[in-house]
Amino acid sequence: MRLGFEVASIALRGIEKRYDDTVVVKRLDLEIANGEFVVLVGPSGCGKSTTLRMIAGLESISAGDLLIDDTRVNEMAPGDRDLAMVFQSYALYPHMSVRENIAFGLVVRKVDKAEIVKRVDDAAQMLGLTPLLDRKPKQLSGGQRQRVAMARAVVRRPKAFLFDEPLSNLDAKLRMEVRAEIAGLRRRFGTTTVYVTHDQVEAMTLADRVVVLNDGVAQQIGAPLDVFRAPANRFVATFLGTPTMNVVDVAATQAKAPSTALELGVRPHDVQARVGGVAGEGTYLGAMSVEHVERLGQESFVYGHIGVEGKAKRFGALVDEDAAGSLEHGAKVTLWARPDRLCFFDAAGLRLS
Amino acid sequence: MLVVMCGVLLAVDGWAADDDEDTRPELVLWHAYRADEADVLASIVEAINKERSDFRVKVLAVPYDAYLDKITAAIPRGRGPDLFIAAHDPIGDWAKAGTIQPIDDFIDTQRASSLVDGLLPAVTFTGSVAKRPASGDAGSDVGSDVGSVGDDVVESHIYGLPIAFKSVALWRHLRRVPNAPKTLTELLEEAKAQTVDGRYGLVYENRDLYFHAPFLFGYGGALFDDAGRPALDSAGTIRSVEAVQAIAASGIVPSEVSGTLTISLFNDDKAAMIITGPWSVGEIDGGIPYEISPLPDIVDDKGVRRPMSPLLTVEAIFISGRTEKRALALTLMELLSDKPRSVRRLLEARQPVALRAAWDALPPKSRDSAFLQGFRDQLARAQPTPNTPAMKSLWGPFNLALGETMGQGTPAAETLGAAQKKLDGVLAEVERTGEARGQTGFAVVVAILGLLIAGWGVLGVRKAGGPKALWAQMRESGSAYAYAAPAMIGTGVLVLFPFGVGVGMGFFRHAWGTYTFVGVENFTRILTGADSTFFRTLGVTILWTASNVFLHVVIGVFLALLLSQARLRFRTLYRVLFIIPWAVPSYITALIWKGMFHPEFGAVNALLGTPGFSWMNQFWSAFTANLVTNTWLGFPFMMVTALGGLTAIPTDLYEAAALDGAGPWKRFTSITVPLLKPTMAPAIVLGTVWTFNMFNVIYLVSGGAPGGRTDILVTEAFRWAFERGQGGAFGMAAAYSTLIFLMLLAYNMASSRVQKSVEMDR
Repeated sequence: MRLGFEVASIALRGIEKRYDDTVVVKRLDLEIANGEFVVLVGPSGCGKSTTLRMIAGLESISAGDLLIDDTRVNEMAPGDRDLAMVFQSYALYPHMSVRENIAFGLVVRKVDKAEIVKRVDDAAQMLGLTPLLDRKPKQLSGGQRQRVAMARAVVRRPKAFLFDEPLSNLDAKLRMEVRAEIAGLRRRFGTTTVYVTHDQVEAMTLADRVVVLNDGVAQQIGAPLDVFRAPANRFVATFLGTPTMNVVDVAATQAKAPSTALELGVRPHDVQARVGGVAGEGTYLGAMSVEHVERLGQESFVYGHIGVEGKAKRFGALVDEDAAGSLEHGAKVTLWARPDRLCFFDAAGLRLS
Repeated sequence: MLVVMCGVLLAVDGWAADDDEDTRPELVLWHAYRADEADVLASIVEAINKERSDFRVKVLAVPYDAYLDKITAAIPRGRGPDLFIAAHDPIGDWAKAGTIQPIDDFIDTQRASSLVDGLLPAVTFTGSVAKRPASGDAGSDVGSDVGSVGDDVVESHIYGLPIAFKSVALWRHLRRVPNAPKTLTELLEEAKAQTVDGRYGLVYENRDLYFHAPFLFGYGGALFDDAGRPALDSAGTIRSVEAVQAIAASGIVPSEVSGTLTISLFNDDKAAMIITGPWSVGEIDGGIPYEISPLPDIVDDKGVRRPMSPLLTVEAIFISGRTEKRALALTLMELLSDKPRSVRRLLEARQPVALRAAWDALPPKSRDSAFLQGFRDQLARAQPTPNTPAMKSLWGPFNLALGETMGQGTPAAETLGAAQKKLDGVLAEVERTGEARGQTGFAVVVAILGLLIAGWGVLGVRKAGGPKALWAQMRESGSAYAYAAPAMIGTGVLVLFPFGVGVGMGFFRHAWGTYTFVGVENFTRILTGADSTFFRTLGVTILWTASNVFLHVVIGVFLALLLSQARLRFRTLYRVLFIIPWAVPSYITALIWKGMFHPEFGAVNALLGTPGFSWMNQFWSAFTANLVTNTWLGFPFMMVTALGGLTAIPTDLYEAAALDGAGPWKRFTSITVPLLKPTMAPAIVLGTVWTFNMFNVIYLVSGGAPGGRTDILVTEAFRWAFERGQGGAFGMAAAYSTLIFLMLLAYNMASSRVQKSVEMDR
């Protein structure tokens, strides 16, 4: 069901943002197709929010072209781009009721009054805001405010949604709910969406494509699983995934590696730790003495260090639940990895395929 | 506020005691001299203190502006000096109030003849005076003098010993006008010839009766008729005003002249002749060659020749009506006025002294001698300022009439006629015996006030849950009460008590130190009196407040918006610059703006290209001048407040609105304005109260001109207290103040309700 929404393609061609000598976003190329959900993810300061704000028109673009539906919009005023943005702080107008907040964009655009009422009611109903319409934002909970912010975006039926870390002010449980709601909206409207987050779970669960940014440079652009499984470089590999991917010197392991490989990376989920000399499956990486056991309920991890004294790197591996119970500090485990999940990085940190 | 100030002034008098081991009886002498005159007097007194064993003298120099009020207020309460030096003109008031006492016995024939001619009439008062003990306990506290006004008797006495005299005379710039003119016609011809190159032939304060008096007398006018009643509209007086109007119109005299302007024009060689008194000598540039000569004669249309007589002010020593050391005071009086000391005052302080013999000591051909001799010559042609109490009430109406004729060109006969009518009204008021409403009315007012306070207290106790709960609560937070106590005591003493006294004073009529209980008469007179200007003034006040606050807020918010632009360079510098008007004391700013609105020399006319336009002659232009001045003073506060409020508005709201399609104006009206409201609302309430009571600007810039029409309530209250005779109509002033308070209280309560609803939005 499309509900009469337009969709738009957004293209970033060599987009740059500079403040004096500081480059915040460097030559970013990104083509977002009609109805695509793209997540910009990266650590704080990586330039993801700046990129989003350039798309929105809240920041000027230092170089490159921004196209919406193949029209260059670098200089177009934010209000004319017909995009809707959900802010991290929600940016609800504190002096207006929920109804007025949702309607504001329509009132400004001089939409017919009856149409406004209808659209506001629809949006409110969709997001479960109908009983709250006459309250002021300060009388709402965090989750409710978040939903008002979304209703405000939805009601305009914009060409695209822009989300700037919309969930970071919510607690963990609420975050999951709203995440599902966003996914639902997205399914419902099929609107082109650009979503900024530092949370890789959001990136993985929501995106059609993720863009991993670091230091203003796009490290990798691709479908979430592809990026997860085949990270382009060491940064992407370690940024995505919990617990973090192990990266150790190739020399410290028994694995067979390409000649140019310097480091080996493998996610803890893809390594089995065996106790008492029992052989495992896959590639044998080496042995490690246990320093720490994490029992999460459904699965358990052991942690230790691998490598020569002084240059040893932290390493984690899955361990059998029954074995975890008896593991003591200092116990020896052998490490067995799924061979197809091994990543090798060269001296520049790039993954060797 | 005025009431509070009076209270503080009176309280300070109590600290006149001194912890000296000296056992000699002490005589307290007050004066208002400055500079040389004060120094010479101090050194004379020091010498006296050294040589006398029977008494010592303590001198207190009181600032001139507060001097007369202080004497009038302090002596009847037994807190004043034993003697004081003052100009003679208020002696009618003082004699009536018993502030001073006759010294006929001291001025014998020999002493009388030792004085320069023409001085004694000035210090002689004939009229009904209060019968009071020469000394005794102060019995004139509020309310205790009910009915004592009726016992006056008509007498004639000498009240003071003249020690110096002062009047205006003609100062000629010698290079411009080498020879003294003999007649006004000659003088005007000279002046006309000198009115070139931006120079004026004659400069004097032509809207002030004091400076106009020589013309008035020269044209055969008078201030009082033969029966001693004030008469402002006699033919001679009208003729004199018409004459000076014509002189002003001919352009040889600049308009709206102040004392300062007179001096500065003379110093800049922009005035060939000026009319002023000996007190100006200290301010005249030493390099200007000038000579003092008597004002010339006027030959009127009928060929009658009369001298241009200035008003003569005689400085005399007076003995307090309440002193217990009359004999010692007379001794000191004699010492201060003897020959050696008169000579010192003459030579060192350049004071035209009263003792004839002292003048022999003048060195021949010195510049100072010529200066002093000029004023001595003028004395022979001067007329003592009338010392009847009515004189005090005469200045205001007369000056208004002068201002209106000079400013708006209204015929003199008309303005002077109106002035006479106004004066009659004032005098009727002054002379009206206070009809005592008796103790019953007083008791009723006290009872009502008491009931109100008691009721309030009972309500408070109830609210706290009964006396027991209140007591428990007070004990629980004992330390909080202890910490708050100093502030509460301070507030009580400095605010609540004077406030109570002020409100109470509104129910009394004050005349020459005596308070008579009159119930709500002051209030009914203000609110329903036929002559009352209350509602007109209230209208002006509201217009004044509304237009000011509107401009302050609009300009303040506009500048704040500019200054909050992150991209603006040198932001801090601008902020500091814009706050400067606020940091400069408001009276200085007001005086500067008044200067800038001067018709001939002001910057405003120069910039607007309207030379000679007199801002103070019409209501709207005078109001605008006040408004501009106060806007200059008022916008920084609003700007600073708005700046603070703007930084508190999150930027993402603007961004959200921009994405919603709102342009700059829409963002301003739907985001900035509503979100700035909670910050600005209290500032606007404050600004309103300040502006409503903005005394300085009105008093200093327009001074109520034209004709009191730009006065606001608070300046009107001031005029009742200090400018309307009867020794201060404090009752009327207090009633005005109480009404102002009630209005502001109502406004405050209404606005705090509005404010609460605004704050709900946040």
